[in-house]
Amino acid sequence: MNWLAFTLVAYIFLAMQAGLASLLGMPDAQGVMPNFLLIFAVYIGLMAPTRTVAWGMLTLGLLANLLTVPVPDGIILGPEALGFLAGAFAVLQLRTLLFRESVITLAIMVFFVGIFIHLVTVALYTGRGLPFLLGDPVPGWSASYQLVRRFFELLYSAAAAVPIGFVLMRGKSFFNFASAPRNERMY
Amino acid sequence: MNRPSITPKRLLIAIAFLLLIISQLPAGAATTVSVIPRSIVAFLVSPPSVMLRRLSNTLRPPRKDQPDFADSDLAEQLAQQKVYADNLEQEVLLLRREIQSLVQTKRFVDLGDISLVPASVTMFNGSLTNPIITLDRGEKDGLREGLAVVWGSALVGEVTEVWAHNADVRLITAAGTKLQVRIAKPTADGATAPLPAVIELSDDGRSFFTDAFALDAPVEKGDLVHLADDRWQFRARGFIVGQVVSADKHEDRPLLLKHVVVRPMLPLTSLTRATVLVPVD
Repeated sequence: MNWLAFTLVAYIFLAMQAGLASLLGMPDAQGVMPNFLLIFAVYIGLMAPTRTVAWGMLTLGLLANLLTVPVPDGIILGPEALGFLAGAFAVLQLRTLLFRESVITLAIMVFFVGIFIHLVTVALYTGRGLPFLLGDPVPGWSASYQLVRRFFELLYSAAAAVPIGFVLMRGKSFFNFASAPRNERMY
Repeated sequence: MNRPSITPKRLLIAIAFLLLIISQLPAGAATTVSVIPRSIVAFLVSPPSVMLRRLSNTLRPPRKDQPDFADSDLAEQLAQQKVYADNLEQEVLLLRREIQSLVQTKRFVDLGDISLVPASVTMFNGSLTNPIITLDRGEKDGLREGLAVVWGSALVGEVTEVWAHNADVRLITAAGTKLQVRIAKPTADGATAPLPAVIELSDDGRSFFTDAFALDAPVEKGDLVHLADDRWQFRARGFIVGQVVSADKHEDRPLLLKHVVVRPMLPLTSLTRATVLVPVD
């Protein structure tokens, strides 16, 4: 995979994620908006060689993590990044069953892989509230509220994945994906 | 053949393990680790995200809440609109006088203890419980933690994290926010003294409320709520936290108490500009 192309597109999607909340947030800027980094991560998961998928999705997960500020002190590095890594595992298992070069596949995978990602992320944030661990609970955190909100975010992201996936599929040659081997194990 | 000790697989596992540990550290330690990468990402992303935020606000202007007159008949609506317009005009006159007096003061006496540092909002994290905006000003512009951020006469939030060229601002609509305030009439008639109160953020994160007023307290829709909290920067006191949008009977104690709801004057999450009150040493 062309990592320069990956970096450039990741930068664009990161800027969109940071800057388009006012335009795309439903019902307002504090509402749900599509997760562009998730859409790009699933695209990489579908198209890239196996070993590249893990590193690519981990990188995008770290970027997504750096946009989220759950506690007044700042960012907690880890939950979103590990969520995307779990998503990488899920997409590698599922992609052998599907026709990859379809925007419908991308939209469906955004939804289902997103479920894995958000379950891991919410679990890690919720785990901070356990008494036998070192972490402090996240103020105002409600796991059920987060799961409901993220479910609607996944629906919105899956819908947005269709037009975005159309553009990404057309630009496949830009990324210079090598052909994936038959063996789909991560390592 | 000797296998290398560090393989990509082992490196990936090590990074995952490290992230797992960091994610469960106490908040202070966990956030310290993310300071440098967050600063770098904020610096790199700010130019395009500022442009995209401006484009977003142009295409979808943020809705400013207006007093709701829909329930009244036409004559009463007209009367209320007149009062609203009069109040606005009075506010404009007061502000003009304030500007004139500030100009005169500055001409004769250089107080110079506060500098108004304008900033652009480069990012908004979109979290309902802890809404944070990132500004394109930092330590090099004199910002430090605890400084108040305003826009016009409205209070926006407080600086929580500062780097060389950026700063994070926690909005007043963060979960768990409680503020000491004074509730005053929109026109300073001098007849009614401002009422002290403590307001707290409601569950929806979009408004504040207080149940501390008696039913006959002179708090009405349209009253302005000013910050009077000594935990905040001194110069931030007096800035407007919001406007009373309803002052109805309390649901559980309708004969005794009033349930007062306050909404911020501005759509804080859609701001593209802000001003930081930086003390001048």
